[in-house]
Amino acid sequence: MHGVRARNESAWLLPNDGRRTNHRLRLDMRQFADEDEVDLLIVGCGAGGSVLLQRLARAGWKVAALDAGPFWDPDTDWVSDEAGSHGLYWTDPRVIAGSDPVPMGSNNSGRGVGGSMVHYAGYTPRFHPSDFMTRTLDGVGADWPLRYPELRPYYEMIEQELPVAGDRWPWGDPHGYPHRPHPVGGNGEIFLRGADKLGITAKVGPVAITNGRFGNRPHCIYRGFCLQGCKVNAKASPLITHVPDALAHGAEVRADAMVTRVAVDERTSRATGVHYVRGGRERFQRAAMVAVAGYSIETPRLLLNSSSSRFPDGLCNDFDQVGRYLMVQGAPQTAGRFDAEVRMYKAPPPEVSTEEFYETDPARDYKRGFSIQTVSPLPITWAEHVSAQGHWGRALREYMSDYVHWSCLGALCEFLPLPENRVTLADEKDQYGLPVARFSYSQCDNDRALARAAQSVMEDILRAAGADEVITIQRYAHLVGGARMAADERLGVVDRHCRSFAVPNLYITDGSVLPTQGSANPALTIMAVAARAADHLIAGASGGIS
Amino acid sequence: MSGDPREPRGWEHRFPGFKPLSQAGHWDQVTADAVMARVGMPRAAQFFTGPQAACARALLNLLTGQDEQGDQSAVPVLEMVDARLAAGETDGWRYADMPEDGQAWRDTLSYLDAEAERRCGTTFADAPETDQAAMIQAVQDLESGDWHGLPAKHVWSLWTRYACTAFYAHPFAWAEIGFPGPAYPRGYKNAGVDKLEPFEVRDAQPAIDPVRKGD
Repeated sequence: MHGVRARNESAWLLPNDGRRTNHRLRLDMRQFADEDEVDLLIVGCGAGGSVLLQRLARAGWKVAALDAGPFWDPDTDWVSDEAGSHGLYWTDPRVIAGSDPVPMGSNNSGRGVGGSMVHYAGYTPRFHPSDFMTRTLDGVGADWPLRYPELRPYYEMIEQELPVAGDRWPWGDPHGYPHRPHPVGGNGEIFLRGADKLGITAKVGPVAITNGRFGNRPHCIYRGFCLQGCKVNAKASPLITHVPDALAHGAEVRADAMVTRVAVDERTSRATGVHYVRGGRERFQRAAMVAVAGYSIETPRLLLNSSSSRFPDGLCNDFDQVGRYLMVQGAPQTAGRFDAEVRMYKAPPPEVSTEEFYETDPARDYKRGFSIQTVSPLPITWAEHVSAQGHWGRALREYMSDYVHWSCLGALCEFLPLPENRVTLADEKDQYGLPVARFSYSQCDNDRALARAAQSVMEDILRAAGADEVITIQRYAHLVGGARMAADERLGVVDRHCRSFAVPNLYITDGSVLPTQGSANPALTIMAVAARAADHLIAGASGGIS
Repeated sequence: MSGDPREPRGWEHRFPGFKPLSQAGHWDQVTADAVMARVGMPRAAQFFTGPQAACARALLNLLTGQDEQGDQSAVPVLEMVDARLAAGETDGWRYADMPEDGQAWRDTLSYLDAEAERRCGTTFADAPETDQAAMIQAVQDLESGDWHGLPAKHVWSLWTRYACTAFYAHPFAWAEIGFPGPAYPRGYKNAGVDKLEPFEVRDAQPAIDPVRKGD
């Protein structure tokens, strides 16, 4: 572990006295004045923004990250309770449309320092090598302007920094993990039992949850509230994996600062800083470079809201690419009923996965594939499952009384990137007077075929494990795309190093740059892509630093 | 097998003696405060007007199978939904073909009252329960159809989302499903099929299986 500590000391900068926040580090944090021209200003302090911040602070850059939400303290801000965790989600208004509209909020949108990784389950699989060239291999989706081997060293580094626990991983590019797999609870047991009966390989992990101490982060206590923010500091989020080290190296994190517009010099077409609102006051932070990392809805929205005479249709939108190819994974969840008590709320929801169905199977009538993972919904979310079967009133209550007998699996289906699945601006305005995002989403035939196939495999696994009944709910998970990287400016918004084609000192370093999504949870890949972009900046290939 | 024959039967009594609130001493203070605020909620509405609150109370009690009259263990679903709407705590999205949540609640409650007036000559709250149930069942049955200019399935989604989120946030609801609630800082030590913590209670009527019965 010495290697990790030498390049990212975050886990050792947290207190070891039972509290979860290093308040001294925050009090002593460097604070730039609006008039100071920082070397790099980052918009959004989630998976992508925080990694970039930490890397550049270590390299000696003057760097600040603005986040619209709070600078969380897990001790006082988070609760071990489902409904009480509402504040973790981005709940400013958004409009959803299309033939298959995608609910936002708790499902896929974070708020505050740490971003949606504060409430993600904790799964951190890598993408497969095939994900970077689906157009070439399968004739669908898109090829990335980089290949898996270029990202592999960053995957390895981030896996050590989180750190990730799991079995040796046999799929994609086979690899091991720094922490051993966690013991599984009832839901994981059921999945492993069913998969084994069918001859389907299933593995424990990969989860960014400490199995043993890591620096001053304690072992997981298997409390099951991963999706409500980890009060233990066992589950990784940038709040504890990258922000502490960034602060210790002179970075500023300016919380509760909503960026409303990226400013661009009309003459030079270079970014000059960002307009933002903090404490009800409009302000402007000067910057030599800007990196936008607001994720797949807010990043395109910010670019579209940053129009000017040079960019009348939105910043970086000369070729109508901003907001397009936004992806969500089809995420049907199938639950099975057992006479035994599963009590799936015990142990972290992320336990066991299979990627046996990840790649295109020539024998099937669809391209690409899906993964299957344990999900373990808590009561409010479980009520959605039961309610989706049509029950209400006393019938709903009676079904709900059976909660301890159910096991639940979730699929992640690689729904394809489509140009009309996109963010545009709605007529409605938010509290800052800015047009809100309108996200239109519709599935294609391949998507529907994938979701059907995934459901059928989940039903088979649960029945093989002994379930007498199965029920399924259709839903979505994750967001990526919306400002994708591409070989040139007619096909995307940024290049292979996350630099925008249109503005040489403007970067995008979040999930919106991903051209495809695979069947993997995206957090690890978003971090790896940001770490790679950071290396590129540090190497001096930028146009920003004089 | 299923214990003392004098124990009450039925799905309301699957976890005899199980009371998540009795474990509140093991919860961290911030979490305990959040949960206890739901238990002691005053019976008052801030967002809904008086007539709207009456209509919403009848609707929400139907959706969650509650009869609040004299029921000490009733969950204050109306108050919890009202508090959310008063604070503007939406889910962070709305369907393009629906008004924002607060307005959608006010609108749909007025439609329920209009239907009750036509059907029973009363408000929705004063209509007989069988009529109330028939009126909301009709909304669910419309599925993608139109209900007072709104897609019925999006109205149904709004109602049930708010109702279930409130109801299953309450420790009284956790008691009847065997869920112990908050788990910090204690965590769990006995995860696994058929493994219990000392403070969990085994299902006394595992044969109830409502799904099988429902077929």
